[in-house]
Amino acid sequence: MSGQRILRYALGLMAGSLLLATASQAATEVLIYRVSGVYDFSLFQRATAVHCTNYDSTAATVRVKFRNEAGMIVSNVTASALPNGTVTFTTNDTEAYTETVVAASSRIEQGTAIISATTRKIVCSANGMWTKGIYPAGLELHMVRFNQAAGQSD
Amino acid sequence: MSTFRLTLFAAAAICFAGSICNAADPAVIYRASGVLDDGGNPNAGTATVFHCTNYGKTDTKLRVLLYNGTGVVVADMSLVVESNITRSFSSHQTLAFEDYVWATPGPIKQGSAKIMSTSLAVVCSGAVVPADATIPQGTPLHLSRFNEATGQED
Repeated sequence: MSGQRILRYALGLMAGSLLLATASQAATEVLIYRVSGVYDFSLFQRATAVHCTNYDSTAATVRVKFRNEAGMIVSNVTASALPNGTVTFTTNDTEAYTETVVAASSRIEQGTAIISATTRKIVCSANGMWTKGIYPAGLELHMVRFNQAAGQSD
Repeated sequence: MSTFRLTLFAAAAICFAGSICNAADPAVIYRASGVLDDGGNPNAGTATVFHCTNYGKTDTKLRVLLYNGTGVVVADMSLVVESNITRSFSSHQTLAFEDYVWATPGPIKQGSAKIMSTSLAVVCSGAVVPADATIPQGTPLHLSRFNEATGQED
């Protein structure tokens, strides 16, 4: 094989790898929910909890990004949810829940959460809450769905 | 035999052999993440309650499955609900609601629920509640709808 042909072959392989990488990344994570009204202030025992259940037949990665009032990402965390398993993310530690991930978000006064996952077969809830007590006193946050699974209508 | 006839024949055979065409088979109508139960005694601690109303003209069989964080079914509740009747299913007994069916799954810290029905003409609500409260209060769960009835928008 001549030097030129080897170079062409190598370039072809690289291009193929890039295409594959892009495709697999696109399939890896899709936006599932956007939520407004996230708040977090550990001094006053306030937090936001996000619960996600994977009803796919294989494990899935769930990612939650919390943005503060200035739009800055203050936390970007992931967890693996088993089939029919649930993962719980909170902005700080709560007594009611056993968290999968406690995100170190610092203070969020008017925030948002962006939830993405490696499968569309995910449903989530979110609530702003008081961190003390076995009962999560607080408010439900409105979940806006993106990329619904088949048969689903949030 | 034409392809069309063959397809019809195959579809009929699947209906006959399997159960996918049986109207009495329960279909998934809701999934919810964030089910919580502290494993407390009846009318104490924290529980999750689901209320379902059958607005169809005939009886429907409702089934509520509760999963723990690792995806294991920890409660399986079923009930026939008559037309225009509402029934409550709870993870354990609560004071505020007349729990028609309740489970005793023990603690569920990161749970989910799947609600199934033989009729699609069913609407449900769900909330995490303090089981000892006489006035209904709680944190509603986001219920994702599947298989909407005709004309319905959840």
